[in-house]
Amino acid sequence: MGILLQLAFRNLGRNRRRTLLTVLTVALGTGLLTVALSMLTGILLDTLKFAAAAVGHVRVVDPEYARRDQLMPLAYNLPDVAAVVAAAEGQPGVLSAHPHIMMGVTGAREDQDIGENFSLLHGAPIAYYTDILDLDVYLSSGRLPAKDGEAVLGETFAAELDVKVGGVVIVLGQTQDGSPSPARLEVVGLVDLGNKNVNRQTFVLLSQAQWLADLEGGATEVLVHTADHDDADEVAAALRSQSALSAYDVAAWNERPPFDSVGAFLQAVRGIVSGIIVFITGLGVLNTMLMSVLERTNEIGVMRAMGLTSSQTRAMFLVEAVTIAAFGGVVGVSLGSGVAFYLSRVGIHLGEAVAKAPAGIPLHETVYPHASVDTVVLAFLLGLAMAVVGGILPAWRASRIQPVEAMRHRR
Amino acid sequence: MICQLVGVTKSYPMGDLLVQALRGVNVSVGAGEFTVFAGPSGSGKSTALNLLGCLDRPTSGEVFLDGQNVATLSDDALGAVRARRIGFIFQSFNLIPVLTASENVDLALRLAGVEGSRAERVEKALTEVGLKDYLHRRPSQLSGGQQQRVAIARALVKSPAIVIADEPTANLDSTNGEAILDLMRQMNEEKGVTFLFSTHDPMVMARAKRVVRLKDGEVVADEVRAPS
Ligand SMILES: Nc1ncnc2c1ncn2[C@@H]1O[C@H](COP(=O)(O)OP(=O)(O)OP(=O)(O)O)[C@@H](O)[C@H]1O
Ligand SMILES: [Mg+2]
Repeated sequence: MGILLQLAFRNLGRNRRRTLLTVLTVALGTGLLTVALSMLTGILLDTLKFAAAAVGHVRVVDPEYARRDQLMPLAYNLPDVAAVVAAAEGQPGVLSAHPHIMMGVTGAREDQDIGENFSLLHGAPIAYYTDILDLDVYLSSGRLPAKDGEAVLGETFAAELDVKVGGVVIVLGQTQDGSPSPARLEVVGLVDLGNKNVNRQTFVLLSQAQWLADLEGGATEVLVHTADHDDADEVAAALRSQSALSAYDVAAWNERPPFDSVGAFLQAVRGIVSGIIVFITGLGVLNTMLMSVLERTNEIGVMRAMGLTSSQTRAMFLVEAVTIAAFGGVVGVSLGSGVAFYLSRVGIHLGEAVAKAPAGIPLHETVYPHASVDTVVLAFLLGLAMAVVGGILPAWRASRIQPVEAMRHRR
Repeated sequence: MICQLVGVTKSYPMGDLLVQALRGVNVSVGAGEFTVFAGPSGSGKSTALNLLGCLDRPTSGEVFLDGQNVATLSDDALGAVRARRIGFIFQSFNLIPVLTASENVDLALRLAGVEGSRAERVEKALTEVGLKDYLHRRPSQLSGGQQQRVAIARALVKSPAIVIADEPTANLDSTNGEAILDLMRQMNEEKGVTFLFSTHDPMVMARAKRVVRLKDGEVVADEVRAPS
């Protein structure tokens, strides 16, 4: 093994330009990987942080409501929501529990006919808006609702209705037994949540939504928040075992759509992106390694004649490839994590593409890459994978060179 | 007797045809010989050396080394035989360019599995070929004649049963060629090293103890010379 290492290292210095080129190829690959993986992690964390908060780390609903989740059936509600909130807040690990009502409404400016403009209307205590959603942070103008009859509109919905702060809209929702239920709301603020779909929402106080739904003292769900979204599973299990909550459906965020699949989806994207980069970089390594095998045919023949076995020959070239990858990997992840760190400060604007994302996944248009040790280690290991991918064929080729090649002489 | 070809044929496929490089050759080389394979280009000299050097296998017939039939050994077993028993000297020297003179010689010992006292053996071998002061030069920093001396040291350092050299002087001028050949003859006489060459060069033939002539893949003459 000692000879192989020595020869491999010496051979690296032989055609410095080519070695450098290969090192740079791997560096570029691992650098790109570091940035791409950081970016995907950033998107994932951002989505989780924002969205898990928005839908509740743990949600308590009527079991029938859980079954028809997508329809948001007001009829299957929590009539005594205060009791549910109290039970949840008594559970260690729970930071807060808020009653919440969601319903689909259509809306129009006061002086116009109710049209085709749909909005998702939220009713919740002001604390939910300020502490959980940080809605005050996302206000682009105006303020949060302070009393019934006031609403905050997402930018998209407001634009569709052509209203600004100070305007008045009529929304048409329904009561829990299905009768139409209109309300007159003064627009006191507009929010920009960073995504066209998400901006098609309306936020009112809980009492306003209870009035619309004819659901005095009740709500459709209780959203429970824990210190960290990672604690959700544990807290959900604890809540489920409480006798006071046994009649309800208790679910952690990652047990519910779309989050039960978003993690796997982003994981798949990571896999595909990594695969493509590893493959392309591997081709670069393959190219240069193959050249050096061809150039060294005679010399390999000489060593084979002197007793070097074909598996030792293969190992020698693999050591060369892995050494190149290790250098390239160090350079690549250093530069890559520098870039990722910089981008984690300034953000990357993804633009319109994000608006077309499935409605349930609230992506932000500006993402902030998240560079972590895990990512850097993964990118480095994938860099080594690139070398193996690119080195395996040349190494195999080298191992097929016959000892008689030594006798064929260059002229 | 060290090595022997018995009824050996060797053919190479060339498109749809088979080139008959050797057509039933019987030849044996004994210990202490200093033998040359001579013959026109394409007569099969290199092919015969390749087989005796265990670099290749015959199409039919048997190849013996120290009484063992090596024609049927596996690739790795054949490699081990070459590493321990056979020294090679090539026409274009074929040193490993990234290794120094002493490292090139040492490589032969390492591949032969020699563990102890390698450094002394390497230095002794290079001293014997007159390169005591060039131990740490790379091949590119040595002349052709010096490179071929390193190649001789590399072949001899492991005390092989036989040294096989395919046209060892073809890439050298006549002065260097003669010096190299005299050196090998000296090793042969002083240490009893067995040498087997191929050549076109009359100067080489003149120094050989035995000349085996090949033509169209057959042995046509086998002359033992009186000691010079
Ligand atoms: N690898 C090969 N593939 C096909 N034909 C080959 C191969 N090696 C040798 N031959 C053929 O076998 C015959 C003998 O070749 P060989 O190299 O043994 O001759 P040689 O006597 O060494 O000639 P030279 O003096 O030119 O070196 C030639 O006709 C040659 O073309
Ligand atoms: Mg020849």
